[in-house]
Amino acid sequence: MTGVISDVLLVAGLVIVVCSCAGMALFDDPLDRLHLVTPAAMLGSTGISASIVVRYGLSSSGLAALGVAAILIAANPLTGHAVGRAIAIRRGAVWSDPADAAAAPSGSECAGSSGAEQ
Amino acid sequence: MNWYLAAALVLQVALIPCAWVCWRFDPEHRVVALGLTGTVQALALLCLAVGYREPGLASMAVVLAALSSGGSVAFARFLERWL
Repeated sequence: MTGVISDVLLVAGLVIVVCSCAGMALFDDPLDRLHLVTPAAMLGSTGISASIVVRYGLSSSGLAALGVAAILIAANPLTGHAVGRAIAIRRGAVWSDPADAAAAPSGSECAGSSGAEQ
Repeated sequence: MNWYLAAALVLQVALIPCAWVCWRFDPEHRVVALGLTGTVQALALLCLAVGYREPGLASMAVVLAALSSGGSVAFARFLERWL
């Protein structure tokens, strides 16, 4: 039974990652492509790591699988934000840090932190 | 060949669209594809470690996951400032 659950989790994680990679070839906009990284990092890593933990328990491989999943899940929002911000700035958006805007003298208000101006 | 080696092989094949994007498109597309590539490579290395029963290789997957995320952020900052 444990082997079946492990195989199902592995296949589910693989399907998510493969679909995300296939979507890279289908979408045209980099921001659309950026949306494909999240399922692979969140759901794909969870499925594959859970498969390893279910099959091998909390052995060294299982702990490494948990570490990989934890790092990918924690770092993916930061990476996605940094890449999205870089793309927005390259497209001409004005992107300011709210802390910088608060420290700036009055009358030199910058654009909002959303950075959605085109 | 067990399931995890087959999974690693599938993950390597799944990298072909990412490689195509890195080859054919602008730097904005490339940095996105690079981020997905780091994720997929870390998972593939983890599957290889389990498939070959080498726990040391699994530690390398942890390191790769951390460094690929940091590398993507560094490339993004580089892209927005200088490229």
